[in-house]
Amino acid sequence: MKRIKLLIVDDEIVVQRSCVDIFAEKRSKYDIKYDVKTVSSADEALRLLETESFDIVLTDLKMPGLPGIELIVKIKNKHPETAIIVITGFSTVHTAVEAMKLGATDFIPKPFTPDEILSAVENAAVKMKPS
Amino acid sequence: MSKRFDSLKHRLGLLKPYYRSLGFKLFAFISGILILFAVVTAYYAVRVQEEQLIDEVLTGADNTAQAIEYATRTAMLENNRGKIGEIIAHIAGKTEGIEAIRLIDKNGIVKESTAPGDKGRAVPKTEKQCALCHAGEKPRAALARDLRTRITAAQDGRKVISIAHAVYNEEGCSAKCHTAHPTAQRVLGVFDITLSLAGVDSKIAANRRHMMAFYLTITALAAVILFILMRPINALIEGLKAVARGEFDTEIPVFAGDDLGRLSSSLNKIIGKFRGEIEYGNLLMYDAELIGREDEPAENGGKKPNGARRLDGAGPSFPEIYGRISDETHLKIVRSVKLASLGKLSAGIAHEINNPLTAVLSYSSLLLDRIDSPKEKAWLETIVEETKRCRNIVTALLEFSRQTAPEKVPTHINEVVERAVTLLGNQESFHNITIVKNLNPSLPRVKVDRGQIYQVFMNLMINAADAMNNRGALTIESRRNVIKSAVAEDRHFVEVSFSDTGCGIPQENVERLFDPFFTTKDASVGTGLGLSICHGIIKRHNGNIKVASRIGEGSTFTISLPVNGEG
Repeated sequence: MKRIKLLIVDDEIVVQRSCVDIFAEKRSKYDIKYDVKTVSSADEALRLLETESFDIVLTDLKMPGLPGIELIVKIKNKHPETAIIVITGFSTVHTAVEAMKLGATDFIPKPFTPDEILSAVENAAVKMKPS
Repeated sequence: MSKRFDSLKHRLGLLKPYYRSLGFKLFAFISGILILFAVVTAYYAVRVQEEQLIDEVLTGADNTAQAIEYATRTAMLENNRGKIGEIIAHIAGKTEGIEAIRLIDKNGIVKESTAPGDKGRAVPKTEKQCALCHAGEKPRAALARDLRTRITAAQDGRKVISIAHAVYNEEGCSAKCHTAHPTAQRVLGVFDITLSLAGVDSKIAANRRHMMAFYLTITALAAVILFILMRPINALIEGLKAVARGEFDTEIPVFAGDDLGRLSSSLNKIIGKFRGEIEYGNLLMYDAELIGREDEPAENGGKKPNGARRLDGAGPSFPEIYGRISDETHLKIVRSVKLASLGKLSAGIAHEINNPLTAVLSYSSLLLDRIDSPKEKAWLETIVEETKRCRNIVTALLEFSRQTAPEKVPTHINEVVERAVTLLGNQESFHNITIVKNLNPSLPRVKVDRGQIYQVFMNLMINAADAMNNRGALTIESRRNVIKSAVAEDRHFVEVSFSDTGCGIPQENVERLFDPFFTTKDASVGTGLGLSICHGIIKRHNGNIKVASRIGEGSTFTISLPVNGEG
């Protein structure tokens, strides 16, 4: 069984909990086990990434403190192997294009269904070597 | 004669705007005063100077005459004519400006003279220089200096002045003289000295030239100062004239921060506001169908209000139009303000609502996977579906609130129509709809954001299909249009209209059609934001969207976009 470490970055606790529960509840098509951790800001995420590595980071764009767009840039600089998926409630084509340009692998507008987020994460996960 | 007079009158008429201008009047007034002042002062200055110079000459001449008298005294007492002649000739030769010196005796005979051929000539008493004293029966013995002088023109045209200096019978004369003049005789003869005035004349002429140059310089300087002063005034006048001609993009140049500068900037602000009003008025004129179409004869305008259209160029006056459309203006302003504030509000709400919706959608979906009971499954399905509907509304709201400026590129509007028709024509909902395209192939290009306009056309076509219950005819027409105005430049538009054969829209709904969330469709089908979004897009293109509808016959939505894509 492949194990993938996920980090959810969102200032909304309800979104963090939803994500944790979705990955606990949903069964992976590719027999992947997801280890999910959550943080409430980009700064926290960066601090955690100093000590721990993650395969996939799911991040909101609009958060207090460092904005999500800058988090993408910083992660891509320090941990280029980490996949980044953007989850945002303020989705426009412009922000999606910008996030993808900066290195995000996918873009999921909120609200999402469990299938939508799982599908996006699995797409990113299957491309990865087992850690 | 009358023809020439008419021609002169005509030419003067052409000059009217110039000689009636404030600048010309000021210039004429100031230069007139300057010239008058110059002429008067120059005249008096020259005259005073001339008198002074002549006075100097005369004083010199009188002194010379006195000197001659003293110098020749001995020779006269001895009656030594030769010596007298010699002395006279010597003085005349040595003193600058002396033309001639002659000695005339009491009988009027020229006894000595430096002028050749003059000696021995009898001068009649009637001659000017003699007549001064000999005019009366008894000759005058003494005369003021001014009366003893006369200015005459010499034979070669030069001006000369002559002065008569009497030789009086002094004590010595009556006793010592060779002829012993009787004591009663006071005047024995006259020295007549003629002096050239060439020096005086040249000095006066030089002075005149200097004065002329001085006054010309002053006048030129006045003209320059006047020009500098008049520049902002002229700019103001020209600017306001341009505004009067209907050129509302006029910007009056501001030359300085003085009173006139402040006046110019204030006027620029007023013109700017007026320009906005006019543009808005033009758009409303268009709405009110006070316009003529280039490719449609006036007689066909059955829907137009009575007498509102004038195609002869003498369109209705601005106040007239404004009066007619004021109600509509009010409605439009209210609508614009309403939409703008709603847009901002929607964006905020949409973002905040998405987070709780994420939880609702996630957990209801997860529960749906776990529940087997058909009844509870149906309930949960409703929750999931309704949450998805909320998501659609929020997405549409975000779309609606997006104030992205259109990226305008020159576009053939027919190509955008064709793209929308190609895409939607294959959709199931259009299978039973006949699409009639009546596109004018010679339309000018318009500067638009193709994606946004494409979105508008798609939206209008989908609405048309819904209104016809996916069965009927959709006519898409493109054409040119022009707004003619007596108060502003004509404005050219490209129009695209979508006419369906659907149910039509009741009049009370037409007014609310572009309001967000207004919909007559089933709640699961429409969000009521489509036409609001279209309205926003078209407004950002400085265009217009309008609707004409008849219950049971169908509706026509018309989009008009400015040809030069200004703004």
